[in-house]
Amino acid sequence: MTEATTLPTATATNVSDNQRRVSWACLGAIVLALVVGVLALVNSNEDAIGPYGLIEALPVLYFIAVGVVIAVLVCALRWKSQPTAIMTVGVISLVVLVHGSAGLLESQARFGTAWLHAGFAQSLMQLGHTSPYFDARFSWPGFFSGAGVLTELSGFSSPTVWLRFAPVVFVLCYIPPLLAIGRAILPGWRAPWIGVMVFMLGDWVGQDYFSPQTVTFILYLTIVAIALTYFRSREPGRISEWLQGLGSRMPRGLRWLGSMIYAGRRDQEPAQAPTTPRMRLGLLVVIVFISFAIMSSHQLTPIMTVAILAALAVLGRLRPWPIFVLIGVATLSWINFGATAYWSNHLQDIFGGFGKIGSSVDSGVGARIEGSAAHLEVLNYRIGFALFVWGLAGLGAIRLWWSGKRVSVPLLVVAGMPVMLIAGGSYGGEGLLRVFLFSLPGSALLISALILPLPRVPRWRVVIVTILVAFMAFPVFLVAIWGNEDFEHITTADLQLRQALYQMAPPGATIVTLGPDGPDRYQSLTLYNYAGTLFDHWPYPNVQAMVAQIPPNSQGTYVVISQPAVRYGVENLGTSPDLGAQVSAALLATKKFTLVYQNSAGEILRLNQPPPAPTPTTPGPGVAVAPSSFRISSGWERVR
Amino acid sequence: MKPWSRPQCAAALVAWSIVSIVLVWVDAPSWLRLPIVGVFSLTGFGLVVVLALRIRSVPLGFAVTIAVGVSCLILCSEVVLYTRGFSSMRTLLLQSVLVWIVAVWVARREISAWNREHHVMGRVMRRQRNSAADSAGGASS
Repeated sequence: MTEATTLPTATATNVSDNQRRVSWACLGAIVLALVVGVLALVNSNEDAIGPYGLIEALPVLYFIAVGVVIAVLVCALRWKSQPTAIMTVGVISLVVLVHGSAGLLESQARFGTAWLHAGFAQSLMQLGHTSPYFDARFSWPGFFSGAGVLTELSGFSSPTVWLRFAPVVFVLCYIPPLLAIGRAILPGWRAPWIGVMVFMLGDWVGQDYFSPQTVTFILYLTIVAIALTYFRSREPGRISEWLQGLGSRMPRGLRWLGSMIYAGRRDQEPAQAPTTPRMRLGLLVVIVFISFAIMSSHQLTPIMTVAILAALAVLGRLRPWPIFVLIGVATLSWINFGATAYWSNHLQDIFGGFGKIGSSVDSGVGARIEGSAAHLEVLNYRIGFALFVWGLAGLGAIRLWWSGKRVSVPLLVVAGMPVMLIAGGSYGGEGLLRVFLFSLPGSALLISALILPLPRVPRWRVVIVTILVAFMAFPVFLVAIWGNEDFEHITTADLQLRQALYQMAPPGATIVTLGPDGPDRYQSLTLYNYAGTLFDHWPYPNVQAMVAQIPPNSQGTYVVISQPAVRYGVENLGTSPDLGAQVSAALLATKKFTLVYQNSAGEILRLNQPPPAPTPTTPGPGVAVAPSSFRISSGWERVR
Repeated sequence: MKPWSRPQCAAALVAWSIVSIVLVWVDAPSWLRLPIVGVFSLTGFGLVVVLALRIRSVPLGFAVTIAVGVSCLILCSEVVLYTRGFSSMRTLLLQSVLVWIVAVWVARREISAWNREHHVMGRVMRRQRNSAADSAGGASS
C-alpha cells in the first residue's frame, strides 16, 4: 500500500525536476543567444551595409543567435502546460535581435522620417502651439504633443533621444494585445504564441519607427483585443438575424456560407470572458477613451478601427454594436473641427482616391518598382514575402476549416477587413504597406492555425518543419525589412552635416536637398523654408536644368548634397553615383554658390546674396569653412 | 509576501504621481526622471484603470495599461496644448488629477469605512468631552 502511493509521487517529482532543468536550460540558451547576438551586432561594421541593406553587414554569430531563439521557442510548443517564462523571454529576445538590429549596429538612429517626427515634437515644445497650415501632420498633433511632454518630463531637451530604440519598444508593446487577440479567437495557449512569433518575423513593412502610426497601431490592437475578449457576442443580434434572413434567400449553393457566417459554429469559438455590467461599462469608456487618442493622432487608424468594429457588428460578433457608430462620429468630428486646415485644402487628396483600387495598387506596387537592379530585387523580395505570408494565411484558413469544419469569423474579419483600405485610396503610395500591417495580426493567427489547427501537442515532424521554414524565410525577411538601409541608415557624419546646416542657416532661409536624406528637419522645423528636394522633379534633361530649380531667397538659400541622397538616387532612380559631385560642380561653376561646409557625408553650398561674396578656398574633407564649432550628438544622449 | 490589496495599489499610484510632480518641480536629473516620471506618465493612469476594472487576464492587463496610459498622455497633452499652450508640467498635473480621481474611486469603500470609523470615534470623543464638561460644570455648581 505504501509502495503504491509512494512510487507515482517519486516519478512525478523526477518529471518535475527534469522539466525544471530543461526549463532553465532553455532560458539559459535564450539569454546566451541574446547576449551573443547583441554583442555581434554592436561589434559589426556599419560601412558593410550595401544595396541589399543591413543583411550584408550582419555577422554569422547573429544568425546563429536568432536561430537558437527560434528553435527553442518552437520546441517549447511541445510542453504540455504553457512555459510562460520561456515564451516571454524568447519572444522579447527575438524582438530585440530582429527589430533592434539596426539600432544596435548603426551609429545613429535610422530613417529620416523618424527624425522629421522628432522635429514636429520639438516644434511644439519650442513654439507652444501647432502650425496646421505648415504641415498636415499638425492637424493630428496627439502623438507629437505626447512625445514632447514625455521628453520634457523625462528631463531631455530633444525628442531625438527616443529614436534609436523606439522600434524595439513599440514592437514589444504589440505583444500583449496580440496575445489577447489570439486568446480571444483561438483555443489553447500555443496558437496565440505562434501568432506572436509569426507577427514578429513577418512584420517587414518598417512602420515601427518613431511615428504616430506605430503608437496608434498599438492602441488599435488593444481596442480589437478588448472588443474580442469582452464584447464578442455569441448570440446573433438584429443585424445578423436580418442578414441571415437575407442569406436564406441566396442561391442554394451559397446558402451554407450565410448560415455558417451569421449563425453557425459560434459554439466552437472560445467563450467570452466573464464580465459584470459595471466592468463592461468601464471597458466601453476605455474603448472610447483610447479611440479619442487614436483619432487625434493619425488619419488612417481610426478609419481602420471603425471598419473592424463595424464588420464584427454586422456579422453579429459585437455587442453593443453601436460602438463603431460612436467612434465613427467622433472621428468625423475631429476631422471637421480639429483638422479643418487640412481638409479645406485637400479634399481631392481625401476623396480623390476613393474606389480607385487599380491606381492604389499601382501606386503601392507598380510605381514603387523602379531603381537599380539590386533595389528591384529587394522590392521583389518584399512582394514575394508579403504574398508568402498571405498565402500561408489562406492555407491556414483552409486547414482550420478542414480540421473540424470550423470557421472563425472574428479571425477572418481581423485578417481580411484591412484589405478594404485599398479601396480607400493609395495614401501616398503607402496604402498597401498599411494594408499588410493591419492584416498581419489576423494573418499570423491563421498561419498558427496552419501549423497547429487543433489545441494539442505538436508532433516533432511539425516542429522540425516549422523551424526549417522559419530558417529559410528569415534571410528573405531581413532583406525585406532592412533592404533600404543603404540610403536610410544615418551616420555620425550625416548628423554632423545637418548640425552644421542649422548652425549656419539663419531663420527664414531656404533649404534645398538633393534627395530624401539623413536626419531630416529634426529641429527648428517651422523656422526654415524647406523647398523640397531636387529629385522631386526628376528626371532633368541635364544638371543645369536641375540647378535651375533652386529658388533664391533674400534670407539665404542653402543646398545640401549628402551621400544618403546620392545613394537614394542610385538605388531608386538609377542615377549615377557621381551625381552629387556633378551637381556640386555645376553649382560652383555658376559662381553664384559658395561651398560653406564639407565632410565625408556631403557638402553644403550657399547661394550668394548681392553683393557677391569673394570666391572661397576649397576646404578639405571634414573641414568647416564657416567659422563655427559643431557638437556631434550620438542620439543616445541629451541633445542641447 | 502578501500581495497588495487594491486600495494599497491605488495609494501607491497616488504616491508615485506626487513623487513625479516633485521630481519635475525640483528639476531632477534625467536618469532619475526617466524611470520615475516618464514611466508614470506612460502607464500611471493605465494601471489605475486596470485596477478599477479588475482585469484578470495578464496580456490584456498589460495591453490596457499601455494603451490607456499612452492615450491619457496624448489626450492630456492635447487638452493643455489647445487651452493654455504646450506645457509638460500642466499635462503631468492633469494626468495626476485623473489618477487621483480613479484611485479614490478604487478605494472608496476603504475611505468611507475609515471616514465612518473616524466619524464614530469623533462622536464618542465629543460625547466624552461633553460629559466631562458637564460633570465638571456640575461639580463647580
